Amino acid sequence: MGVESFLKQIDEVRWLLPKSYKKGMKTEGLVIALKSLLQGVEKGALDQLANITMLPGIQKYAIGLPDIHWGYGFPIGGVAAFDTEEGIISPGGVGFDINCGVRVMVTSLTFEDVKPKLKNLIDKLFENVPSGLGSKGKIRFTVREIEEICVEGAQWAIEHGYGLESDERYIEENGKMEGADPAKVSSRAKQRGCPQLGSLGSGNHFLEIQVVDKIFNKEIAEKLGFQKLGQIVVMLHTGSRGFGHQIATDYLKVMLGYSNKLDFKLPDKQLACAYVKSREAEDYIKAMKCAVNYAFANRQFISHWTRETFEKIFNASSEDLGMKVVYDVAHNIAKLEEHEVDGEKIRVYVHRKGATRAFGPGRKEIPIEYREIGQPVLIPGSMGTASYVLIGTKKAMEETFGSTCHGSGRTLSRAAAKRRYSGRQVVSELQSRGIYVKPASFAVAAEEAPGSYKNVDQVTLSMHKAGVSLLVVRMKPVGVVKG
Amino acid sequence: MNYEYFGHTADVGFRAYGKNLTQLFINSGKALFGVMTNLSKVGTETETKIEIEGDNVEDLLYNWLNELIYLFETLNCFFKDFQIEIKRRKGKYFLKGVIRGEKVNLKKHEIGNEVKAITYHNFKVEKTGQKYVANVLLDI
Repeated sequence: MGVESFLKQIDEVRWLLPKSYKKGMKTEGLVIALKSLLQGVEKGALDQLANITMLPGIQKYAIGLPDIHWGYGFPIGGVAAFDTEEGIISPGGVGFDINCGVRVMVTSLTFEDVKPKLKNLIDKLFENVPSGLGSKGKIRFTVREIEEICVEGAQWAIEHGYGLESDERYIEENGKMEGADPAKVSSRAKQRGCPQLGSLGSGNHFLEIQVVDKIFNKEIAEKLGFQKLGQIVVMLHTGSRGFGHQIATDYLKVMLGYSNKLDFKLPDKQLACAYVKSREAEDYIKAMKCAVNYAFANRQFISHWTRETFEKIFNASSEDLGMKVVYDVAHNIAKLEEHEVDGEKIRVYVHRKGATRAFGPGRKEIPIEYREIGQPVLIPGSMGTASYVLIGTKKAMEETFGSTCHGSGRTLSRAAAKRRYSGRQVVSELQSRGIYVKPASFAVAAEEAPGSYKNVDQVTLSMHKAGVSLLVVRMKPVGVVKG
Repeated sequence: MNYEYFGHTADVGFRAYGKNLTQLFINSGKALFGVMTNLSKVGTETETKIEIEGDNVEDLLYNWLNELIYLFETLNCFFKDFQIEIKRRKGKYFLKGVIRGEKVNLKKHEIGNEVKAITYHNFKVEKTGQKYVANVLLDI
């Protein structure tokens, strides 16, 4: 049985977690998901959603998205917004991998062009883009450079020749979140960050060659650069590496030290937080922004090496190959945004942990070229399954603080997946389905087997049915570099 | 048993055991690196000194595991041999010693998961009878 017995169904995809679910809940929880997906949700995830509603200053309700699963502190696939006067900021509401996110680039190539060279392309990408456990970037950055990069973000990379000037327009925050302060980042974080910038890392991170396989909304698809079925697309998924992990770890401790200044008892240590107006919260935000910018730069470096690899394999410039950034989104982040609550426009700190911003048409944060249609949302599937592009809506602004799902969400633990699957078998099965996978680790490939995840089609369909973000394009993978 | 892993949807957890605190910390260190690689294929020719402190036993364990992640990432080394001693002075805990391992060698070592961080989710150290038990959830 799923967790639906604890929830009150509102419509096909909306479920209410009532205040009576757990003592201390200040507000309700809203879960958006097709019923079939609730089967795979653990009660632990609902408990974590309930815990968030106990934090001071929470606005409206805590939101669980269809990819919700049991995490630590906040559930993964969760959103909560906090008032700037009485509310809090919690590093656990962002997660350790600050600005883990996704970038999509389109090309003018078709599957027919790529098919004969696919293996070579993936092998070369595997060589040119460092991946796997403890992977090190190809450039040795100094601490001083890291300090510049964590202020300038992707713009630093572009200015130093890693990308096109136009790239930055198509990155959330233009690839540079204002207000980052490297003085708030420990030297340990910087030391972890130096060798790893420009690497994918491990776990669910990847670089994928995909083919446009279904177009749901032709007009919007074309505006975003998806012209036809069979078009080749590049998707990459990575974050702020050890730099962000260390910042999160450091500030979790700072926040725990602060907990005696809170006038309530933390429901879970991992939810350690500080009032928005405290020095601790201000420092965390300044440091978090450094990791956000580091991650934008990381994806920028990897995009550059991806373009270089395509240029070599197809013997043409990346401009001629039409390699254009569609968008780049964060899915682990806290941001100060203006939202309407009870008919009033207020500024709130939106925590998105395993959730993507999905602003509707007209918001000034959206690149001018897309402003009329809404913000593109990039949803990676699990290894071997489809990925999606959706578009943010007005409904998202009204209902979810402009947020939507971030991926498929796990259902099987890593240990269970490893017991059930063998990495080599997973890779060869995918190969027989026409997907060439080059993994940094076969053990990780087993854990990332498609069967360990929820069905991404159902996840994105849930959001579409809710009207929070609408389906635009579906892509199928043909080649994967797996971290 | 020195340590065992348990499943958690997104991540990996371990329970480490020890007849004393030192053994508990050694086994926790092995459990951590055991997520990253097969330790039986790791040598012990590289060594480094380690010195950390904590406000209590749990804090010391949290700092110890974080220190090991930091040393792994900055020295690019899997560690498996821990010669450490733990002392309590004026209400604080101190750990000091030498740890040994081997530089990551993709040709020789099996590559497993990257550990992003140690979470506080159900993080605890307990003494049951004559045995210490640590419960740790790693963010993968």
